Amino acid sequence: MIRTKGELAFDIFNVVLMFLIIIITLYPFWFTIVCSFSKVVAGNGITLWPKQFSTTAYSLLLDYDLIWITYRNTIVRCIVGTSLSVFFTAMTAYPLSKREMPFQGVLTNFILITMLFGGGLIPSYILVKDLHMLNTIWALVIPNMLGAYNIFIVRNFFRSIPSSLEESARIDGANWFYIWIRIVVPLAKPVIATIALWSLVGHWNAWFDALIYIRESTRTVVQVILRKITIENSSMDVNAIMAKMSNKDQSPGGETLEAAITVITIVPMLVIYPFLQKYFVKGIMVGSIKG
Amino acid sequence: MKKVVCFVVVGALLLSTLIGGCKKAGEESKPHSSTPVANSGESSENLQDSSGASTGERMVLKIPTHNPEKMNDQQELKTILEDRYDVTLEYYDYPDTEALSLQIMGGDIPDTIRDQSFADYHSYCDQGILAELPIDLIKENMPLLVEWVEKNVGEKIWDYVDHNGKNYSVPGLWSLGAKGFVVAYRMDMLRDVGINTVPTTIDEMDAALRAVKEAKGFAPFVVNVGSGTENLSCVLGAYGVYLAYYEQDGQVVFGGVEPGAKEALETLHTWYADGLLDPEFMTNKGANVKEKMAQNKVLVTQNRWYMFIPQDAFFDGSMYDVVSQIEGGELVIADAPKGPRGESGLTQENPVTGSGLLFGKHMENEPERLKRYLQVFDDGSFTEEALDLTFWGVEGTTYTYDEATGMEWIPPYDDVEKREEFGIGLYQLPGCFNDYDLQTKYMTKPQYLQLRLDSEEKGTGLYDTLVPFNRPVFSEKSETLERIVDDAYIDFITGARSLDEFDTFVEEWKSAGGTAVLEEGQAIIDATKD
Repeated sequence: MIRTKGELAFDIFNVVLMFLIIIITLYPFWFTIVCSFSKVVAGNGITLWPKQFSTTAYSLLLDYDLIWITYRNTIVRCIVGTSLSVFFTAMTAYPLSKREMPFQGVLTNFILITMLFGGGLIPSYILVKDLHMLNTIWALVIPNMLGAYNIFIVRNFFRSIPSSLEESARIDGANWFYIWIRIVVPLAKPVIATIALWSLVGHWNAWFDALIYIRESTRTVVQVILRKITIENSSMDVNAIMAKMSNKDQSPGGETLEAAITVITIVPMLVIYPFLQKYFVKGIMVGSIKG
Repeated sequence: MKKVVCFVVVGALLLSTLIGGCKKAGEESKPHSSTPVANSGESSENLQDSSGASTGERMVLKIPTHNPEKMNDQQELKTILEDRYDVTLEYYDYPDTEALSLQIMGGDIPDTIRDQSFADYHSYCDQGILAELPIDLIKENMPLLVEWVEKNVGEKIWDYVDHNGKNYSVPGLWSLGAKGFVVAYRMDMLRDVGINTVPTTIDEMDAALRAVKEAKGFAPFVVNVGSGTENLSCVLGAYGVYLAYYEQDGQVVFGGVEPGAKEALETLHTWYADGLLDPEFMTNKGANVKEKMAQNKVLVTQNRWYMFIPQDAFFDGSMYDVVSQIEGGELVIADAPKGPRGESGLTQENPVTGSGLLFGKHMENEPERLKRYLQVFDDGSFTEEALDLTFWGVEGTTYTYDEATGMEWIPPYDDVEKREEFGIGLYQLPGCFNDYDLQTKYMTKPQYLQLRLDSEEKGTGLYDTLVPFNRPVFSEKSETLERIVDDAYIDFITGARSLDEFDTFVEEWKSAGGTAVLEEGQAIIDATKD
């Protein structure tokens, strides 16, 4: 197909514009990585490579016990939270996908209302406290376990599975739970993968619930420490990290430490996300009604 | 049949959910004694009986800290302190502000509460969350603290924390606030343009700025945005005004709308137009100013004095660190520039920055434990013996001290891990009362003592005298009034608005609530004089 000059010009303009947008978007990430490997940040200006290359910030951070403890807490939270979220979301969505289920409409509206209204922060806090979940992992996992949006996405996908499959299983004597676990769930892998990803990313990035429900620093998540250092500029945490620095002349600046801890907390998502991004986009469509 | 069963089961589940959700309706959430949640994740029971008397076991004092993960019962210093006061010390994570508010709203009130604004303090008093602390009780059990606050602020400190004729606070203060901000110059840059003495007047400052601008090509007066335009306050001070509420000839005024402010704005506008004032004065963060300093793009700036001297002289030293890496770089802290009428100063901060140390309501039922808290905190914060223990450990075991040379660690306590094992530097009692004069020997190396004293003395000016008072009108109007001032000042300085409209701006400020705020402030000041 022969392209006109106008089309060619438009393509060139598009490519250049996208390239600029990519640079504007990616450069802050790159700059953070560069800062984390620079001994001193002040005075470097805009730069593509580390000035006075140093890995001291990383060695200090990795030597700081609280980073490992909170990183472990974050990973445990993600695994437990994601597993439970996926399991219970799928389990909730399946009966809701059956129109013959009693009170199906009432239950659906019941769940829908939670999407529209919330009790607010104080009632949530009181509820978590009265359920004796404060300062435990359950305060981070259970309130986030069932999201109405996720339930509806999965429910809609379940509805797209031909009922003839379930009917034939029923004829062969399978009960509802067996049908769900052995037939429906394996067919619903795309949507379950999507929900799992959303849940995983949500749990990884979450910090506010840990801030208000977790009272001990050894039980909190790494994002809370990140926030303390970068946003609250907590000199206590920075001093604690740099306390073991025997040679002050070699100590990294506060900005270097901030950049290093940002990289440490963001790297897992940064590595996973590009490979699984398509599932996020697909996931929104995968729950749409088909046929 | 199965459908009927299903119908009944689901219906019952729905009903039980409804009943369960309504279960606590009508029950009031009563404040109750709170204990920090212990490591097991369960609430631990208070060991004391309701009168607070020791049941044979030591009283438990619970203190928030930033490093609880480093503390344990095996640390020698913990044992020493517990024996000294005959108490058991329990340290728990210092709660985030929002988390603490939620905790209090949820009825989980800790023994002690700190760092609350005056607005929150009065609100908590009204809600019955705080224990009343008679002034005589504090004077009897914390004589050293009382001496410290009254020496620095005067007896009016008790007016600040008064709530409807009663006291609910152990007042604290941040003595650095009143003298914190200073002006600092790059002396090496001044010498480069033939100026060998630090400018002392606004005219000399103007000349220095112009000389450096001409020679080096950058805008030499660089500040970061603090609270609005306060970091330009050295110029306002030269014309006798401050961005704060203060008394002038018996009247409460806001310096930002006084005639002197117009003169200051004319100077700032001229500097901006002539490229002497950094155009990013309203967007610079601290890191940006440090960045520009490192790039040799700052002649003069304004910030806290301890940023411009070595960290071993007191604290921070961040700007000093940046300049010390520049060959020939030299920072000098200067007096605030004098204006045409000989006035000078910077807008400082009221040293009474918060409502002090508060106690939960339940402590009224434990008077002995309350007294012990007060006694321990008084000793822990204001006696040299206790501070020596907290900061350095045991003399002869962990350190040696000589007045001429300062403190030296005794091996193996020169290793920070060994010090942490001992507990050194971890056990603050409680950590919110800082008599920096008393703490000099811990914070300032002997060779820097005079530098510290000289630097601190450069912090002159006035601060907002009404900060500690309960001001409902101000609380309601302050955001609007601050926005009006910031927007107008930026427009006046950048030239977006003519200074001929200064009087119009003043009227806008007054009609937006400024008059009401001034009247409220006047009533407060008059009441304190009665």
